[in-house]
Amino acid sequence: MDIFNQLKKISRKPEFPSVIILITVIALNAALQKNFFAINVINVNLLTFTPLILISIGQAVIILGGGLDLSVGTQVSLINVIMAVLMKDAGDNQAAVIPGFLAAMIAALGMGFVNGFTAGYLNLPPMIATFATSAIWYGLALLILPSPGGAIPTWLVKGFSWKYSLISMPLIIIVAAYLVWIFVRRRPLGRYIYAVGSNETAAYANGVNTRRVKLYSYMLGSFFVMLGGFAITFQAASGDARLGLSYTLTSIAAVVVGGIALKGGSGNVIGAVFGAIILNMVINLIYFANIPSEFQEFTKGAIIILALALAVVYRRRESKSLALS
Amino acid sequence: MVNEAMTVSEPRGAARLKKLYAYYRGALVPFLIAIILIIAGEFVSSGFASPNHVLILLKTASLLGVLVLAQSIVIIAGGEGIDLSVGAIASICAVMAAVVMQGEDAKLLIAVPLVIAVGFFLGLINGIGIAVFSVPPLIMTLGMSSVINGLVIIYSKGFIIRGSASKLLQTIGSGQSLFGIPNMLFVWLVIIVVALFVLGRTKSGITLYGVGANELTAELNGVHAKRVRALAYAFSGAISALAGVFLLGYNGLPFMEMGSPYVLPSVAAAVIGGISLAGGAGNYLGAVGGSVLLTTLTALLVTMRMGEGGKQVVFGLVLIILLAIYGRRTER
Repeated sequence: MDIFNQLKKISRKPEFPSVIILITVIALNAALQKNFFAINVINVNLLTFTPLILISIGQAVIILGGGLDLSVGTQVSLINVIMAVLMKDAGDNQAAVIPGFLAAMIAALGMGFVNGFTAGYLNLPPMIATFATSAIWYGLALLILPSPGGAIPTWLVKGFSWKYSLISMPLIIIVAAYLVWIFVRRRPLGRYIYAVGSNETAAYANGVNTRRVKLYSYMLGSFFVMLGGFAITFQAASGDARLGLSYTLTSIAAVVVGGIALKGGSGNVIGAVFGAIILNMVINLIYFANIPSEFQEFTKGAIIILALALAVVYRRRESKSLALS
Repeated sequence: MVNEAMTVSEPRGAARLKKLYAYYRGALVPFLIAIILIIAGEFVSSGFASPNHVLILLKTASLLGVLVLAQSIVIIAGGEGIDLSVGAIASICAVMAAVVMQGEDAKLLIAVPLVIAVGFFLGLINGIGIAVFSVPPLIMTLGMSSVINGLVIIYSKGFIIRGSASKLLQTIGSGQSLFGIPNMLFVWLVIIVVALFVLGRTKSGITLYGVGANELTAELNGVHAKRVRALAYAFSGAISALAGVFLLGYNGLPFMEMGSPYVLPSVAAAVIGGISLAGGAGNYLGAVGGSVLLTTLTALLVTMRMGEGGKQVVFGLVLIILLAIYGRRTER
């Protein structure tokens, strides 16, 4: 009886539908890709999934706080370009990469600050404000590196793909990033982010400095986006102002698939991680199921819509049964 | 709101003008800024403010402007309304129209109603997903645009699409007549007048605003809010299809994702024009101003020979400044 109640409780978590979808996609992947569970394959998959996972964590934090960030893609681009340009001549000199990392971090926090400022203090609608800032980040990236180029030292690239059995560098970074969020989640700021996201007026009335909380949620989000930017940069090993563009909308889709409400204040960040893995695996599926490449775009969109409609219908039924009980 | 006492004491005509002014006052700002930008452009490069160039600017703005109408309708309908699939619908409809008409005027009459129906249908799918299945509009329309662009890729298999605009459509889309005024401007004028009338004066328009402003009060007044919202997306799709036809006329040939560059500017133009993202407020005339303003700004940056990077930075900065001046959220 106790187990039954436990199961019931688990099934009511907002990320539950995404777990079900995740298991389904993993099963399908395993059926199509022979050595899906081989350690090597798992590590390679994780390596390619890492950027979207980290960026989606960032997007999730911002959305939970009642915001939205259409500029995460160009933030990734700017970070990538800064690193590729500043680390170009670093070579084997380990100290020479420090300016690159520092500049990337300053840029990331600065971008988060500007986004948070427009949303929190200027009170602009986040969708349109971050669309505007995304143009600024993209423009800056193009100014720094008009055509693809730059380079990342090989030892950094190798270091990023370091692995020992199932423990790999990407996994360590993802776990560390998630722990950072858990740390924040348990402090007042974490509670305030949820409070502002679910009801800004009520949070304000209860003495929460809603503007500052918004500012911090964007800055924290940008921090995770920066980690995603690192991950992409170490994989690409060079700079390209267009590198991040596709991540903006995919990260939002990952967040929603993960059971986080776009209205803010409801859902768990781990759902965004599941969402990101699901979307990546769907792309894998299309590849391994030998679907002609021209069907990829179509299938991707169709699956996102279907998954969302299912998740929404499921949640609505759940909330009805909750209301009845 | 016009003061009751004032309307009584003043002659009817003046009061009416005053009321009109109060209604469309917000629309003036983007036009004024556009005019300032045009004058500034004249200093950068002489001829920027010449009547001919202004007409070219307006012609370019008209293509964006039609898509902005599609965008405005769903934003006004509320419920976090937004349609990111306007570009994709325009693209697929341009492709379909070109394939059907194959450059023949006679087939124009088959092609246009056909693609408008297709656009309506695609928009209706959006509307059903959003209103019935409660999928967030941002994601629903984004997914749809992925699906629709995917369909075009499947059809063309990545090769060049065979088909072209008919002579008549090309004349409408890129030709000019009377005093060198582009034909597209006359078309846009008709669309503006019809849109302002339907949205501001008819029962359907007022219902749309009602649902956007307050779903509950609309429901209590016997309006089927979900149906209205679903239809808003369907009409947005139909108008996007029409925009696609004009895009085809402007370019002569269809190409993949030809509507995509207009998607985010269409949202920006609507917001700059005073259409509140919260729904139920703003009018198309403002959004027309927003389209002209954005087009002028882009043209000015091109004239200043700014590289792509500098152009993007200035575009973003100006947008933020404009938003900070009069795009703030007022509902809180």
